[in-house]
Amino acid sequence: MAQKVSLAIDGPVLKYIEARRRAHRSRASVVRELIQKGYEANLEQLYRQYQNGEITLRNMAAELGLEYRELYALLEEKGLPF
Amino acid sequence: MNHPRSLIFDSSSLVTASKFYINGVLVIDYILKGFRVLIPEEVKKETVDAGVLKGYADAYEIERRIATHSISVVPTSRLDAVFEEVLDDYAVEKGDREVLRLCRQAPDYDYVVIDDHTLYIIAHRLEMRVLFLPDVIYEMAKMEIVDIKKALKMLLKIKPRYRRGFIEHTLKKIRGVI
Repeated sequence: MAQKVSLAIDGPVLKYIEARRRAHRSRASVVRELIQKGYEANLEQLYRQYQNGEITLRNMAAELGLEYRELYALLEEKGLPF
Repeated sequence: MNHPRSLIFDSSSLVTASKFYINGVLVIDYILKGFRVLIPEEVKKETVDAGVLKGYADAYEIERRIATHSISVVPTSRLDAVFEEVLDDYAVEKGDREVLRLCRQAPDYDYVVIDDHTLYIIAHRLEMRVLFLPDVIYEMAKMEIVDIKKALKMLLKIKPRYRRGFIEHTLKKIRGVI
């Protein structure tokens, strides 16, 4: 279920959001897109660490704040093999 | 003395075996024809308790087999200090620890089935008899628990869950060309 989160942003990230707003995007949608991209990048990095034998799948689940079974489903959904 | 062959299962292998059907029969049920399956409590929590909450069909299948004692849930406890220190050094999580502890606690197990590559390496380094799920299917074909045709079907069904090369390699082993 979606939850509302309020946050303060400054510096270059805020400038980026304002620049995107000029392209007729709402602040919320730009922030959501940035957060999603950051999450995907984290997921990718953790998966690479797993593939390199640095962490187990459970370490990866813990880092992502997921239950083990949720991670299984997420990897399956993204077509990422063990 | 003969004892029933037993496999210890880690969560990802157990979920995969409980998701895919061959001729209307789950892969786990073919495995249960030839092996006793043991899991630690944390694997039960991860696969059944968490899975049922999310409504995953495999969670209900595993739950049913635990209820009918086809799959046994075995409690684990802390072992000798050096072993625990090794687990601490690897910084593995609770479920990882319980799988590895169970291998130590139940020394007459035949294989531990782990698809997590990092955990597989740790188990191997701890001198545990470890297999990936595709290797279990190969063993079942070798032991004639399933015929080669069914084993090939199983491997092709589970293929998307494995890295490139894994299933291809097992297929060649089963066909006897490698």
